[in-house]
Parts: sequence; C-alpha cells; structure tokens
Amino acid sequence: MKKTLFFTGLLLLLFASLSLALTGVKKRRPLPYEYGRVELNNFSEKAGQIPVVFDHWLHRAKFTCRLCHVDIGFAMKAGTTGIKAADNMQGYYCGSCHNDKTAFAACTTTIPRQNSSKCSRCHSLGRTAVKQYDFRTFTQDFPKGRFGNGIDWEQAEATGKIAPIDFLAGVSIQRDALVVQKDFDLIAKVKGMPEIIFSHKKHTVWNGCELCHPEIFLGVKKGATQYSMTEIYDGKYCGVCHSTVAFPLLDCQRCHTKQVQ
Amino acid sequence: MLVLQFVCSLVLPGLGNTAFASDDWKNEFNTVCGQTQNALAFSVDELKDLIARCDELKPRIKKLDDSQATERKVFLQRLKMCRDFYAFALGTKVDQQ
Repeated sequence: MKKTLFFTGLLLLLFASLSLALTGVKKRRPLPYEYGRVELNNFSEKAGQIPVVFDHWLHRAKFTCRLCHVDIGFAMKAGTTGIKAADNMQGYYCGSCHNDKTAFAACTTTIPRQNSSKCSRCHSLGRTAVKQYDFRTFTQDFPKGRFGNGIDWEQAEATGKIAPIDFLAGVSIQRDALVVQKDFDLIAKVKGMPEIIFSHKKHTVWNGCELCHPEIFLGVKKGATQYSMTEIYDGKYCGVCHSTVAFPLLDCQRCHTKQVQ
Repeated sequence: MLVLQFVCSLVLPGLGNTAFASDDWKNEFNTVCGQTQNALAFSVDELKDLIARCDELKPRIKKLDDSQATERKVFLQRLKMCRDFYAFALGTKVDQQ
C-alpha cells in the first residue's frame, strides 16, 4: 500500500514537472519601475557594449508618445528601429535630445570606452546603473494607478504633475492644434460585459493621428476592423500600447466603462 | 531667398545648389507632413494632392548619399507614416461619400 502511494506521488510529481516544462511557468509581472522597459540590442553586443535599457516611465513623463514615435521616428515595435551609435552621434533618435545640451550625450566619440560610468547610464542591462532619476522618488507625489507602473498617468497630466513636451525644435514640424474626433462606444462581445467608451481626446492628446492610423488600426469605418481580446492580449490593436507602456489589460474597468442597459 | 540662392550659385556653384536642394526637400516635407492633424477636414482632391506630393518626395529622400544615411532612414519612415495617414483619411472620405 505504502509502495503504491509512493509511486503514485512520484508519478504525479513527474507529471506536474512535465506540464510546467512543456507549457512554461507563469510570466513574472514586471515591477512598477520595470513596466514599459525596452532592451535595445541591435548592435550593442556586436560592438562590444552591454545592451541598452530604456525606461519608458521617465521618457513618457517628459515627452508625448507622438514626439518620439512620429517626429523622431522610433518604431512602435521594440527592436525594429535599428538604432546605431552613429545615428545618435549625428543627432537622430536618442541623439535628438541626448546631445549634451538637452540631456547627457548619447554615444559621443569624446567619451573613452573605458569611462563606463557614462556609457552605462544607458548600456546597463544586467547591471545596477547609477541613474539621474530614481523611479520611487520621481513618482512619489503622482496619482496612483492599480497596475503597470502603479501611476495614473492621465491624472498625473491633468493635475500638472507632468507636462509632456510635444515639440522639439529642429525636429518637430510646427502644426495647428488638433481637431479632436468624436468619442465612440465599442460593444463587448461577451454578454454582460460593460461596453467600451473609446475616447479620441484622451488618445490624440499624446499620440496625434498617424501613430495609430493606419499602422495599428487600419479600418476606416467603425466596426470595419474586427478584433478580439485574444488579439489584444497578443499585442495587437489596443495591446500595442496597453500591454507594454499604457495601463495594462488587467485594468478592465478603465476601458469597459459603459453600463449595459 | 532666391537672391541668396543666386549669389551662392555664382560664388560657390556646387555648394550653393546642394545646400538649397537639401533645404528644398525638407521644406516640402515640413509643408506636406505638417498638415496631418487637419487631414480629415480636407477634400478628396486635397488629400490626393498631398499623397502625390509625398510620392514625389520619396525618391528625392532616397537619393540622399550614404553620408546622410541616418537622415534618409528617419525621413523615409516619417514620410511613410504621413503618406499612409493621408491615404487612410482619403479612404475615410471616399467611404463617407
């Protein structure tokens, strides 16, 4: 009897181990300061440098999404811009601001490779870099959110805690004020789930138009692009931002806001 | 501006023309792509004209030499976003008609 129990237990343990090995363990939820973090390694390691760790929380507090992803030209998908040190040194991409005037210089030739403390402000993957801004100190007075960075960025702007810059001299084009399109509701596919009120105003204030259309949302007419929560969780449509930088998909009630009649 | 260009072309023929040619495509880029926020208020013909101007700009940016490879990459990407959005706005207009 004891022998049978022992073997049953052993079999169960083996089965559980196999299941975990085949399906993988649950992905660790990033810590608040890690949320939105991007690792850049198109060329770093090939050039004998440590990959770059880019903190979205700091940059989104200072600049609009549109400024970086439209005017400066950073692609929306991590790793697809293909930034080289030479690009930064010529004043493009990171070098648009990291030019020793607006912010510390990125990839300048005047920093000897041995002076790793300057390089490691960005090239810091796997290291404890000494950074100018500490997440906890920087965000301590910010309105709190439930998930992601633990910050309600929308409220942070509304209450004047942040004032993201939308224009960079020499890079951005002087534009007229944006005419905001109407908000609309999206009917949830699951019965009983509150409808989604999509606010164009909230999205265009940081993104402009061409950041989302047509690359992320191709459909011209409301309802033309059919998508599901599975696709959103897969990083498509709303999931392009709302699973990486903007409040995550766990925060259901921030989108599903309209009560079902 | 034209007088300055003329003087430059006399004093420094090659340099003057190159510098202004460079300014030319950037000015055109700024004019064309600086209107995306108004795109949905434009008529079909205006949008078609903007798309055509984007298409004319593309080979001019592609022609930038290798010393301007980064500039070429950045502006081709920016031009694509701008052109695609005008095409999107045009699709919206046509759909509404």
